[in-house]
Amino acid sequence: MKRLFLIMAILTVSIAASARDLYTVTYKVQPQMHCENCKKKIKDQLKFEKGVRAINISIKEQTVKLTYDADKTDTQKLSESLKKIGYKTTEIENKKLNLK
Amino acid sequence: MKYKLSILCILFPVFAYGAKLNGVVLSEDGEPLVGASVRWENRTTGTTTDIDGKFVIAYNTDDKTLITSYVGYNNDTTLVDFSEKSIIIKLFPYILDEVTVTTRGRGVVKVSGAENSMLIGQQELFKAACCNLGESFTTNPSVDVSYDDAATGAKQIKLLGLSGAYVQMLTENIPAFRGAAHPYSLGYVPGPWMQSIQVSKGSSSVKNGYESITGQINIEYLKPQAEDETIGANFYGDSKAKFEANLDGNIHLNKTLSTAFLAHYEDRYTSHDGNDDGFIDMPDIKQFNIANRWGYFSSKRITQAFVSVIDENRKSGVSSHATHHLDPQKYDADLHTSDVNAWVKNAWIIDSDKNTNIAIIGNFSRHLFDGKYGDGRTLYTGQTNAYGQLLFETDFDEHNSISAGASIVYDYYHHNLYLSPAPLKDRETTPGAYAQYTYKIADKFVAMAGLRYDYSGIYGGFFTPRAHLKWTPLYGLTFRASAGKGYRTVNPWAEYNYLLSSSLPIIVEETLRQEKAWNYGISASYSLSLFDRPLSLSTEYYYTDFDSQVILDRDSYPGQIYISNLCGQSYSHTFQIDLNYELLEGLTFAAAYRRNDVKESYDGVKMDKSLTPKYKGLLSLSYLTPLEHWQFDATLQLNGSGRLPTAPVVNDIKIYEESYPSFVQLSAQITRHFRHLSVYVGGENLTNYKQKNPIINLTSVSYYDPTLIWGPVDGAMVYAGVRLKFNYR
Repeated sequence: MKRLFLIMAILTVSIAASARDLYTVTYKVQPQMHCENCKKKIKDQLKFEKGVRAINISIKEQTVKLTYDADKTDTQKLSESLKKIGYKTTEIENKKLNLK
Repeated sequence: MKYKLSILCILFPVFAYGAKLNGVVLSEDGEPLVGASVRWENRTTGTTTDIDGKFVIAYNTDDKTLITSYVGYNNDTTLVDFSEKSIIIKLFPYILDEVTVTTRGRGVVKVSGAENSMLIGQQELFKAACCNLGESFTTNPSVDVSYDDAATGAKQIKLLGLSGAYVQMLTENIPAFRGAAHPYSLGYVPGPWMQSIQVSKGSSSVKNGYESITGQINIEYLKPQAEDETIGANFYGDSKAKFEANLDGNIHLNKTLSTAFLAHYEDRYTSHDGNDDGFIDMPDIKQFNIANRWGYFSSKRITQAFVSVIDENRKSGVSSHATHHLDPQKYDADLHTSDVNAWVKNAWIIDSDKNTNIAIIGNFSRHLFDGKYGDGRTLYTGQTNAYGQLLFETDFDEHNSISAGASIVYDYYHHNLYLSPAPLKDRETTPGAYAQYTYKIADKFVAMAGLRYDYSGIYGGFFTPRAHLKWTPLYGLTFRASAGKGYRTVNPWAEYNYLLSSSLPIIVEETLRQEKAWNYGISASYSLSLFDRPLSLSTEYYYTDFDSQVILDRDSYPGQIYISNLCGQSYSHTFQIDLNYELLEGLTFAAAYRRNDVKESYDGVKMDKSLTPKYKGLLSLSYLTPLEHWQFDATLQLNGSGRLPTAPVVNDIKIYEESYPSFVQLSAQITRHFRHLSVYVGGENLTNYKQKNPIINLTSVSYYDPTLIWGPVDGAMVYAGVRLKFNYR
């Protein structure tokens, strides 16, 4: 188990280190997300999308915050992916992630 | 969702402008609620809150009461004081009951009803290879799964320290796998077919009959009406040369009608003899299992139908490459099972606001078992069961509801046993009726009391009273209590047929009484947030006391098996404590410990029930990466020691020990999820613990006994598999 976590930690660090071009985009989605199920549906759609590094969904704020690798995907692709499952997106913010 | 009055509203002054009111809608912890709808009472239009939870709404002189609603939260009704021109409305989530839906969605969810029950969802089931129902409880501390018999691989579950026969098995809330189907039933439900398993401990509702004594296990299969139309497949293989394939798929034929297909095939290719005792460790099982189900859902009527067919062959005995030169004719077992089951449920919804509905359920099953054991012992058992139920349910108001109904159970058993040339026949028809009343104060208190009366064609009439209480004094803290009676008719040859693989004489008392037992239980569960992560703690205590029981007595006359009426006391005390905590984001930890004190009287002498461990402990760790691509699960199980039945004495020496030791088992699995695919590898019994002599006295036919099983009979096993799921529309 110890070794497993070590491998996990190395993997996480190496992913973070190799990613130079990380951005975080925040979308407001239509229709509204109502419950854990909507959240799950969106997460299930996005989690295997190429370039997606982190997903943060807030039902309270009705936002989907995505961290992505700009070398592999862009906001258009991400918003199209959400459109496939019936969610229209409005981009609120798209900023480069500062990795120090 | 029942309308609920406002819980809190704070008014405070801000400057005024025109005939407009502005305000903000917040959640209980002060977060703004975006898109909450706000309107005046008696008006159909209104406004919604913006990204900061703020709203502006125009008003007339007759507007007084503001209604605020937001999905997942209780509606709020506020009488507005217009001297204040701004208003804060706080909404409270209506899932106040059990804090179980965490950010990640746990695999096991405590069910919020009056019964102490938990729902094991697919997420939990997929933590282990989960080939069938019997293997679904590896990560569950409440349910034990043990082998009955090393030769034929009969397995049984134990709940509250007592045999699985006292647990009522239900599939889709219809009694299933009763009597003849019971011994091998854990293998009849393929893992990938299951959507969820609900385990309820202690006395159950009287709705499903009088049979449950220690609890209920309800299995829900994959649904045809599931939102997505999918085709799924699962392939599995393990180091013991077992291969499995499962297929499932559903189609929505139109808006109301849907159907689903389920198929399963399993085969063990080699006869492995890992402990080199001359016997194959695991029986060679070949099973086909197919099912088709239909669902019709409209606002007025719900109709569901299901049909399944199982065909299974089990072969065990002497290994073909044995060096022990055992005579296969004396030991080999060859069992064939076929099972057909069909059911229809129909519910008419009369008033959906009051949950008023009438339902009718019909079930038919036919189970045939043909067993050939060593030394010419044979058993042929057939059971035909028909079941009908009519029920009516309605809420009188938001506090009071009732459920009432009538049922009829028909069982026909016919046996042909090597001991008796003439076939034995048993027939039992039991009509009955029940009523159950529930009083509920939303989220705070539930009292449920039920009574049923049934009339058995063999045992006459009897009452089944049962009662449940649930109290939530504080957010996250819940107490439950239950008491109730249960009954069961025992068909020894149907249920104990696995004993025929031993060579011990089996003597069955001529007139077996109906089993009767009381079960009492109390439990407390507490959920809280510790360092911003969910922690849940629960404890429970159950007591089962038999008034009358049919016992398997191996102690009064060592070397013989008596199936007889209980004479003296028989009871079980169990105490369990469970802890669950999310240590880090995605990393959950669970620990559980249970003490069992199970006693039975043999010929009037009270003893620990044999083959029942005194305690059980479970530790599990589960990690899911943030994007849910990888999943790691490990479970460590501590099985307590216990007593073995009194050993027969040969040449002044007892042929086996008095007790068995405790042992530890480890299982682990790694899963990689892809969009349409999951690949998993894992291992069971990785500590490689093996019961030393699973077969007693195997070199001599007298006292040959493979049914004293307390531990794993085969060593470490590794497996790999793949699950596919395509959303085809």
